[in-house]
Amino acid sequence: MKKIIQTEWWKLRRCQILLVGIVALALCPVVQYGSQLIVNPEIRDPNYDFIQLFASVVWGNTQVFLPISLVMIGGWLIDRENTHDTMKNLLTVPVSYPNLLGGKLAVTALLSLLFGLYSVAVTLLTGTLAGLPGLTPTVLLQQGGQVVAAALTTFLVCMPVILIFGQMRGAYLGGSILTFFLGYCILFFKSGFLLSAYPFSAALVLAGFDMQEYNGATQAPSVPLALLGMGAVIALTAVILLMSRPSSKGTPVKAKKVNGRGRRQAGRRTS
Amino acid sequence: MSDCIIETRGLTKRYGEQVSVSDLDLHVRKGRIYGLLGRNGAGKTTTMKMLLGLTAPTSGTVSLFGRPLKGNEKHILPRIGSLIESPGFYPNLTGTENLQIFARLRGLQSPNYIKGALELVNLPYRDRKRYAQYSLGMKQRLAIALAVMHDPELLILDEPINGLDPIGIAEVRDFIRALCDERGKTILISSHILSEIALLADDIGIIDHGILLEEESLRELEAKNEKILRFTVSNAPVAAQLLKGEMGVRDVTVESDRELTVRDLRLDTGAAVRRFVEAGLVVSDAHLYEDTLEDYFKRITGGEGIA
Repeated sequence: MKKIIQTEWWKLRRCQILLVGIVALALCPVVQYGSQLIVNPEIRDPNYDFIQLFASVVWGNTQVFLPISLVMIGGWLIDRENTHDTMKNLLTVPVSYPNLLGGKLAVTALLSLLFGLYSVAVTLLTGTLAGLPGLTPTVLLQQGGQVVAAALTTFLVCMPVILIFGQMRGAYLGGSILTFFLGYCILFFKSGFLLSAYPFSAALVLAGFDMQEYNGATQAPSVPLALLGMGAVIALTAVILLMSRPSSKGTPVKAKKVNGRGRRQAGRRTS
Repeated sequence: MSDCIIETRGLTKRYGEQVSVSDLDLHVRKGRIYGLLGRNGAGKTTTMKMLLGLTAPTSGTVSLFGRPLKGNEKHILPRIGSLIESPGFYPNLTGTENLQIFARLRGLQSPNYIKGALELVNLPYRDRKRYAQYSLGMKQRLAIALAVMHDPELLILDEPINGLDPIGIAEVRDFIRALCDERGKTILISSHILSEIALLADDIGIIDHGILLEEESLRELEAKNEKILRFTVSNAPVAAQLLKGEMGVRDVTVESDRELTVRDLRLDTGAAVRRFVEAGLVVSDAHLYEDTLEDYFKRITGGEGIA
């Protein structure tokens, strides 16, 4: 397994798809701070500080930016083995298919950790440039730690979607869009079982994040329910991993020649 | 055959109604080059995929190194190097980086494995060119390097000369021959190019529409090939009389006033020509015609040429 994870990491060299995460997570604190600026002055929080910026970054990352990025990158990591026709080389080593998928999830987990740390750095930079008050070592440690923890728990929630859509040829982008909607649904669960057990809510609860200000929760979340929700996601991931079989279609998906579609062409050349 | 490295029994692959490979009994002997010959779509690649466990057979069994493949993949596959269909590598990495990935997965510690494999196929080690920028020939060479990097006992190569220029084809041919002759490798190679198989293979299997029509050594095949001695003389009927009456040749056919053919190859051609000249005949030509592998292929596949 160590070999698989190591080689999966090597495969990321010069991969432009990583820019998705880098750009998305750079946008998050800027968008969150910007949204504070564009609201009417009467409802604008005059005491907006680093703690609030970090909290809004945790919310934004978990609800939108990380699910999109992680599913797109993780799904692509799986999809590329068929697109680039490298699966046959791996299977004849032989590498076990569930282990290969597990290795890809492990690398995506590592990326989510790095994205979390990167998000902390970008948030620090944004807050500093905006001249926000309230930055202390304790705030940095606590709030930054929460950003990283939420990145990891968000990754756990995304695992089944990565596995399902990564194995459907060319569908990882669809998986990414679906995850965006699933993440957005946190807003709808303000009380009851799903307030804590809904996987994306559970990711926030387990990271120690108070959602009340963001989704208007009417009751306190339950950690045991959050653990139950997360446990269900992990169990589902394990089942998918064990049931996954390599596609026997064999032939790679041929990229369509589409003029004027820079994204596809760039992907074909370099990713 | 006890010395078989590859042996299949009743190997069949169906995709719905379509039968891709039917009841295939393949025998590849140790230390020999086996050429699997067939048109595009004849079932060569599907057969090779089943031999590597990449496609599950609908029925039948595959034995490699005397053991069934199913259930022994972990022990058998590391002893095989393969190239199936087109080369598949990561376009964002260089050739060396691509090989490093597979070397690591195979547990090859020394960089000499990669260096040696690249040298064998004339590709530079630690070149900065990415795979995406490689020509078709370079991609094919890299795929061959990957197949041989771990020094496997058995090589399964599906159309390995695709995309290579004539010099590259000759190099790969010599290289494959040397692997077999000098290092005792067993090689299963598929191609739709008859001349290549004729130049390279020790044993030949002819597959058509998923059915293995023939499986023989090249020597046996050559022995079975039809050979005809054709004379062009000033008077063919007189020459035929001389052959039949004085030289005891039975299978003589007069093709025209000036041409006759002999299928009895025990005939001493020199003696026949001398006798014709003594009888006052002018001999313009005496030629031995032999079926090529292509003629043979056409004959047993029902007259269609290879695609």
